[in-house]
Amino acid sequence: MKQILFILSLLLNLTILQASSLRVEADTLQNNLSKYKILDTRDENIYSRGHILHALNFPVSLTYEDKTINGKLTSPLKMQKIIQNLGLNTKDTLVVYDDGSFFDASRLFWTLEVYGFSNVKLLNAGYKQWSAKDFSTSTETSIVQKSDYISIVNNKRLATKFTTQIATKNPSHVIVDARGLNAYLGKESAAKRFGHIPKAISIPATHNINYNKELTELKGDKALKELYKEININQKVIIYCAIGKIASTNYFAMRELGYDVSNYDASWREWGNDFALPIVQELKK
Amino acid sequence: MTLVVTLVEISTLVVIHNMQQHDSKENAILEVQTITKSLNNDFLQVILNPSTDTLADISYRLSAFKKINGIVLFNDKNEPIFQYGTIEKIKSLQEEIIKSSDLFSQENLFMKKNLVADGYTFGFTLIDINLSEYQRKQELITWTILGILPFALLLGFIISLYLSKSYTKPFTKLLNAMKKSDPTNNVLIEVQTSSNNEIKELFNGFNHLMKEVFNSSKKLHFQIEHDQLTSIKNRFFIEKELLEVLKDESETNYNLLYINLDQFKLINDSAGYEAGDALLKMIVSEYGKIIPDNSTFARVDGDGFMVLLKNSSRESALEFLEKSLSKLRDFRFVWESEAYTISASIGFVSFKPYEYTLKELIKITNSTIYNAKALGRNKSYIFNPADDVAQRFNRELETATFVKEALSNGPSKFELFAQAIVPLQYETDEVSYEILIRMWDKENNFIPPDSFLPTAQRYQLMAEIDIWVLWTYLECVTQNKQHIDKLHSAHINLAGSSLTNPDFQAKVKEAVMHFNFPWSKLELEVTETSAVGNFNKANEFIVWLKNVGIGLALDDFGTGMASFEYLKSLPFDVVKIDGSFVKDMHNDPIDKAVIRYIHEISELKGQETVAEYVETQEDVDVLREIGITYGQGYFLGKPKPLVEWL
Repeated sequence: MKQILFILSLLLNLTILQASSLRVEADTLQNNLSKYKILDTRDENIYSRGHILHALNFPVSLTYEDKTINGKLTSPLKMQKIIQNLGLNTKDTLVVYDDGSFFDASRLFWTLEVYGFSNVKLLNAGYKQWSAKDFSTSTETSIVQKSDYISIVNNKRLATKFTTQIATKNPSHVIVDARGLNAYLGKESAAKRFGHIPKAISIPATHNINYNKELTELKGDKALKELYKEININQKVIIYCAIGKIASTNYFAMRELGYDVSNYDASWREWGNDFALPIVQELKK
Repeated sequence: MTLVVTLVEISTLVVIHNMQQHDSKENAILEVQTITKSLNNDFLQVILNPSTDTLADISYRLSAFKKINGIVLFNDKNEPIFQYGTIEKIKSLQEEIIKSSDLFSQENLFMKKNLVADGYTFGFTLIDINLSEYQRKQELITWTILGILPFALLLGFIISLYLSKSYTKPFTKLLNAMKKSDPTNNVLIEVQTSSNNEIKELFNGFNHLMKEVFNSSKKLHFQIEHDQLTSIKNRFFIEKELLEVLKDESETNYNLLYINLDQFKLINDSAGYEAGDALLKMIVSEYGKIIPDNSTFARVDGDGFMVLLKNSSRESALEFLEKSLSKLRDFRFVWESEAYTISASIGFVSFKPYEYTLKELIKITNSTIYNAKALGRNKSYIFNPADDVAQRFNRELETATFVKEALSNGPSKFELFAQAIVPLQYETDEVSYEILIRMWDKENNFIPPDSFLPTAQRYQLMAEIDIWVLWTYLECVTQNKQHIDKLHSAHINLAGSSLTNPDFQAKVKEAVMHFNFPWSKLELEVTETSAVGNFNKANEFIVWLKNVGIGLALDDFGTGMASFEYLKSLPFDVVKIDGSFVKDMHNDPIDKAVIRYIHEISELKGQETVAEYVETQEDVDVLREIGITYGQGYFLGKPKPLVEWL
């Protein structure tokens, strides 16, 4: 009986998942502002000049431990404080947005998913479209009550050197190289070594994006499905890039498509510099 | 039984169930301890150097433990710094978990584990373990147990049924065997078992017991029907058989032999009982050889045997009788190098069923053997229903009974009579008489002395009669002093055997002490025939009698074989001449001469003479002329009761 119920609820969930895209259109958000906690990824000074009504400021820079070095996520202790101060709880339904470039929003999307948030959505086309539509905005910063969030790391969303090593061996795991093709082929490298992680396939991050005038936008489902057609929906996917910045684009796209995907944020900078780890260098073959 | 088995089963299952429950709790705690121990260092690393990678890896590892609902990691300042899974329950119960270190709820186990390294506590974790896994297991076990229970119960029930049945089975078997067994009648039911326990012992015991009863009753049967010494049939058996054949419906002719050994007593007395027993065995084995097949051979008393010939003609039976006589004639027997010869007398009776009763038949066989014995050794007597001898025997038996009665308390009785003995040569006032005994049976019929005295003699009752007569006479006359004064002499008859009888001798001596009587007036008469052979043995007693003054008279002199030698040698004071001489003396001069001769001898010895049978004056005259001292007879006085004399 329990099992039947479980299957039923699973089916129900799947239909819900498919119905509710991870992207939220500006219109929908405008109509349901009170249902979401909205996070603005832009810098504080930009935020203070105007943001979506009730949105809280979560500058994307706070998601980097040290943006100058690589794309690694902010360490848990710091992140716990940031999230607590924003009064967020893991059960909250969040909408993140950026100026419309999509990179920052997907970065925060990924960050929040790693840190245990399960209901995170991304505002399609960002603030650029929001302001263009003349939806509700504000310059005021809402005062929030500190939450009792405790760091939680969703290892399904964050890959490490350890889990990636496992993936290189496990045939049901797929590794996606989100760098440019040259980097994949070993023509260029952000690390001491050239090449890519064994078994990795090349799907550059830029392939997920439509560059439409000044507006950058994630490709439509159809295009994305075409892009990831080689990967079976049941396979676990690990994505990496040069330093862990741009792979979040692929991450979001694949999440949107329903893949079980994690982002190896230390990326090639860690792997390429660790001589103990195996690499594949296509050119030298 | 069944109930007990069921209860035991249920309680066992309950115990197992409880143990299982307890175990699963213990296991949960143990598992958590194992997990936390293995993650101890990783948690330490998180506390010291928290990075997303570390946490991701830990989360990855923790995800392997499906039972972990959630974990909250605290640093040494009691601040939560990391969580894994869902932690709502931990949060709501945080205080309690910290206090009790392990806490069970319906579906969860909460534990607090300190993170310790080298004795320093860096923080702690609160862990929420999902017990549903254990519970599912628990439920599975419970359901399995419940599923098993009915079968276990059924099995238990069947087993207990089987056991109780197999327990009672041997006893039912035993009971049946007991009911059907009849070891005294040769019905033996043996019980058997394949088991090797107390039941077998019990069965063996029962079988043994039954066999014992069977054997001993067989032995008993044998002993009841057989003679212990010779192992042939005994009186009990043959009488039983006679009883049966006497009731036989067929017209079969039966012949019965009663064999009695002659003078067996002699061998028993001289050679001992062992010799007698050996002789009996030998006779049985020797004589047994000629016994016909269809017959019964039994020992019926000490030296008596019976042979019952069934379905045999009188002729063939008589043939067998002759054969038996010759077989038992001069049967030689050696004991301790002494040779003995023994023979047997045989009585023979032919009879048909319902002709006699058993009692009558036994009586007849007794009389035939008596008659056979009377004929001498190794003789047979064939019973004839019309036989007067047999009738006489019957009468004798009766007479002997009367005598015995008269000697004791009746109803038959004796009476003393006296007949005068009259002096022939002189006149006197004094009286002399011979005491005579008379007997009346219970119906007051007179029984003459010559009828009962021989019987009494045969039944060895004479000494008693003599004692009775003497004692009664003395009792009577000693009460009459005048009569004693007038008395010249009183003659009392004695059987020759009484003289040698110790009882009689003692009684006479007692009488002499007891009664005040002039003993010289007493004459004891002994017949010539019985005196012979007894006088020599009674010498001492006779000397004593003489000393007391009691006289002795020789009765019926002349009838026996006794020679005048007796008169010469024996110490008689009086000789009574037999009546037969007196009766014929007028016609036969020899008789008269004998009387005269006896008188002369007696006179020479100084003995007085008495002539019996004096019936006429003529007799008196002749006898007086010869010189006979006294006369006795009807002419001189008939016998009359003693009391009339007094």
